[in-house]
Amino acid sequence: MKIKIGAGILVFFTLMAVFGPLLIGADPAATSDDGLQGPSAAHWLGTTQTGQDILTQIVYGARVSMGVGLLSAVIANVFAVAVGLVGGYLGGAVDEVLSVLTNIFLVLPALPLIIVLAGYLPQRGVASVAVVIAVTGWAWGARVLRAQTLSVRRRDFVQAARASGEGAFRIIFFEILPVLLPVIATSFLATVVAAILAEAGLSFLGLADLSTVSWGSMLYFAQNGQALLIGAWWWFIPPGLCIALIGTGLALVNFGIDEIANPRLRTVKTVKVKART
Amino acid sequence: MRFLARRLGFYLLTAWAAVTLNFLIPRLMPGDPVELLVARMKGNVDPAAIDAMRRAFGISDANLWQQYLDYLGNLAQGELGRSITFFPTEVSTVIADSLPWTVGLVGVATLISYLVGTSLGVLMAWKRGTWLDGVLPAATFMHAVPYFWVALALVFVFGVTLQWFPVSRAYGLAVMPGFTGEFAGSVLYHAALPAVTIVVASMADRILGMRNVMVTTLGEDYVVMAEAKGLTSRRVMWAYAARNAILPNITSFALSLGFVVGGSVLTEIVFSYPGIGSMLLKGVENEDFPLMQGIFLVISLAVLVANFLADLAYVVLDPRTRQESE
Amino acid sequence: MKRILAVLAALTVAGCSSGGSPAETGTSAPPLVIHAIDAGTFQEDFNPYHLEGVNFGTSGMIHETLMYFNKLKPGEITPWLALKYEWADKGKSLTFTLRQGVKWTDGQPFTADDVAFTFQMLKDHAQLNTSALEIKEARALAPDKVRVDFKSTSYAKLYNIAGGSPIVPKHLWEKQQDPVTFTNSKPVGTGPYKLSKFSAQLYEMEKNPSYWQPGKPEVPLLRFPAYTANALQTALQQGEVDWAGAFVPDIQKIFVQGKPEQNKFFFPPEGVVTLLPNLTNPVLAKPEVRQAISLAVDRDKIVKVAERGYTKVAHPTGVPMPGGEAYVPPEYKDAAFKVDVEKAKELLKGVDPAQLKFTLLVPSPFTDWVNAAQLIREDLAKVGITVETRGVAFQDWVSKVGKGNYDLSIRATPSGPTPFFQMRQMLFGGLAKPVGEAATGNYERWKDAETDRLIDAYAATEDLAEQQQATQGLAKIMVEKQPALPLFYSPSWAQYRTDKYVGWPSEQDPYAMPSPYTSPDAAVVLLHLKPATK
Repeated sequence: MKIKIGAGILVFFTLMAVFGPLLIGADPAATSDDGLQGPSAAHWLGTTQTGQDILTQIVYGARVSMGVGLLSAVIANVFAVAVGLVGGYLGGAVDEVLSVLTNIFLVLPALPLIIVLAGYLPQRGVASVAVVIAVTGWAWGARVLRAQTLSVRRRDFVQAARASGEGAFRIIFFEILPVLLPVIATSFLATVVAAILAEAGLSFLGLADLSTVSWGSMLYFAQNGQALLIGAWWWFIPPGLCIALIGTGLALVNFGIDEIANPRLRTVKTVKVKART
Repeated sequence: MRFLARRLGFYLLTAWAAVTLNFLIPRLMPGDPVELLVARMKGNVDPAAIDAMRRAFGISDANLWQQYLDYLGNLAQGELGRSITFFPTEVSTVIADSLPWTVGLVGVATLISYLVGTSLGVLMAWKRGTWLDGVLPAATFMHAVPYFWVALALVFVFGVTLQWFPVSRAYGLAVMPGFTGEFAGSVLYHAALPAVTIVVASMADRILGMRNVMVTTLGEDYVVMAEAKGLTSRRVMWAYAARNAILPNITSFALSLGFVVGGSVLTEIVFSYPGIGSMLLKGVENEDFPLMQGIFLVISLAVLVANFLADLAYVVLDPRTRQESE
Repeated sequence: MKRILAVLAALTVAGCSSGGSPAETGTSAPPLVIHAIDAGTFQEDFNPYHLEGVNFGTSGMIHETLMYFNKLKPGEITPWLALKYEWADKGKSLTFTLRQGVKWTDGQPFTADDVAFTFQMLKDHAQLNTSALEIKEARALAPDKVRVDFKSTSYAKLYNIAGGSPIVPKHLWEKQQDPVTFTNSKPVGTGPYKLSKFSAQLYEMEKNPSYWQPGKPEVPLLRFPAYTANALQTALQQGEVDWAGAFVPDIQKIFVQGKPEQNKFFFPPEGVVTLLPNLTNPVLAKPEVRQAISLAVDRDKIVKVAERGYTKVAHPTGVPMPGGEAYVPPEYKDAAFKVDVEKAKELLKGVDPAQLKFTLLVPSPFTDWVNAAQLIREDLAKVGITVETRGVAFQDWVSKVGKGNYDLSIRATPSGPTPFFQMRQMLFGGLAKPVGEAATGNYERWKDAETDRLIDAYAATEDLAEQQQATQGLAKIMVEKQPALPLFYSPSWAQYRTDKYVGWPSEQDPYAMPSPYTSPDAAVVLLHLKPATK
């Protein structure tokens, strides 16, 4: 059920991001003379101070916000998988070094690091923001994956593969990796949420790319225009709500995956004392 | 004890990494604080004075290795340099003035959120299938909401519209700091709304995390055993299950401290609060390298210390760690 | 002495009229809450020669200057701590006659020694000499006479010397080892206020009872709370602040709140915002291209939409109007920008359309400029010029524009005490640096012998008519050659409430810059305020 609702939300936003701009076609940054109009037939979600259509911005912003989320999640997880699996499988000195590296990034405070890095970025394009977020967000996944790899390593099929003379690279990425896919998926989805939130936070602080319309930059301009104080709730609410909804969707899917892996987490009333399976 | 020594070694290594990273980042990136200062002064500074200012700020052209040694040397003496934004105030003074506010506000709020969130998580795991499950979707939603968005909305409702709470600053306009009841009251009153936003926004993670661990723990043999022995369900819940489920939670709490202090940037910006987060942002905006480095260092070290304390707590609470190799 | 600018009337008259009301009525008057600059916290720094860390009010309210220059009426100079000045040796020597009977707030008399000490300190500590005064020597000639000698002709620096150098007390400052790092936490000045309380989130100044202007100031207590930009908006909306200088997104809803007679604002020009073409770009170096761009841009719309109608479209010369009339050539007095898309297209006929592609660089934290850039992009598309707007970090923008690595950008130039300063900053060939080297003015890199000749002519004279003539020549170049394209005036922000005090500067009576963050103007405003009669 959870997975269905979550997936529904995600499908909705993905469709919006992919096809929405094609349907609307307008320039999300285009200004008009109708500044600060409330929702109406002409502007379903109203307009900004400079007369930009908020619905158009939301639709285009979905591309950027989700794009940043996906991109940095991909980078972070590639890193996490490489570090976690290689360290966990090889063990020894390699593992020691990689573990220390992972733990250092775990302990360093992420948001200040993101802010400091973003502060030094010469070009705050969408891609560089995604990279900065990824740099600070891979460590948790790496730690989890390393722990999982340690247990998978001892299983029969890995031992068999090793006995048949397969190379370490092949074992790691063709034998172990597929088994860990659910874990990677969970970590991936969590990173997407974190990255979308981080992008929004950075934008709000004025440290992200503000000339591109994203949900974060919309919130920045809404706050700079004091949208709430002047009663323009339609400017402030939608971008935040979209972020929250997409985050909820991702989290629901994630819990769904968790529950499949660990049935006890279900909310359905179960007999409390039950023999472990 | 080997476990602790190992951890201590690791933290020292991490501290060194943080210090070095801190040194390298600004030097690898482009930018010149003096140019910025001139731009911000809207031409009120004569170009001819720029070199003089560069000297005053101590911006050096020495080679990187020498700068690194100087930096470590100064650091060893607790010398963080002078802030450029607040020149000639020492970075250590800026930090000393702002840190207590952050620790007071964010620390207390986080503790509350941790305690309440953890208890709720325990309760929800125990009472699965009751109305308490209704909290779950709400928590999921809160977990994904941008913090500053919620905070601003709360400010608007409770501060601006209803005017129940002040919405900015750490104490009132007519109050001077001192050991007076008036000042203390004003500080508490001003901290109320920011604290509530932190609690509301960060509690969801705790609830969800604790519930999951707790549910897993409830299936463990010793809990089943305890129930079978006929102990009261309250006893089983708190003394058997929760006590063990809380262990991994402590580590994740210590790790989350980094996020907490980091997240304080947003809180302090929204509420005009004079803490270390708003100072960090100011440093970033002004390319005030000494200030940024100093604050980043303090935050990193604070998180390291918190983690070490968490490890200590772990050893006390869970004897197994004493044999654990990893 | 050819010219002693004396606008004494205002001072003496004001002194007489309020002479009758004793100080006691003043003390019952309410405090004035001021927000000058966005700050999360304050540092205990009251050294008037510090640039950023210093708390607002240090210069003007505590430490005073020798003269007061009203930027809203270029050429209006009021004697302050000095009664008059006199140039000698072709602008290399300047003698001030000082006001007698002025006291420091610790009771010591103010003398020529203090003035000489101050300028000598600037000479000895280049870090404090932010106006780069080329001081050779400063010497007290008599208790009320001081002479400052310069290495080069310094007529054009009169404002920086007399209007921008707050005087500090010798008897306290000479004990300081290093005035560069001295924070002056217990400031002693000659000004109308003295620091009474300080904390990281709030400081207060109370009136100086023995101030040299009798009966003044009438505001007994100033309160400076710390607000960030964001929190200030709410504070203004809730009426916590009496006098602020901030950009307010919707001033009617947030500040005026339907009470225009009480909640007032005044945004006079303090500089000009221009569209900068990089003249090292061969296409933008063509005058017809710049002219076409200028004709295509709808400045009225930019002012209305991006600037929310808070400011006005700039005069084609860039000279702030009203106020700058004497610096504008007569034939352009009534000139104004007009949009003419057809003519712009006509002008561009000889240019390969493929070359008409530019990026427009703006600092993304300046949201109004980001919006203006968007409008410019739309306008230029109509005449076949493709513009890509790129919002970058403030630091990045400073560095790129400074080094000339851009096609088009938007930048503000401060007006200074007279429009000449703005022109020099924008056009002086000496400021133009090769691409790749950071410039501190003339970012478009305009090089023109006539321009430089006019700038040198201004600097070589103290005759007002000659100075105005030189500036008119520069204004003419602005219109005819369009080295930079003026868009709109950058406003000085000032919001104030009249429920406690009246007498604020206004369009009708622009006696000082109204913004609380302009020094020493804010102190001049405070000296004009009177309790509102209820």
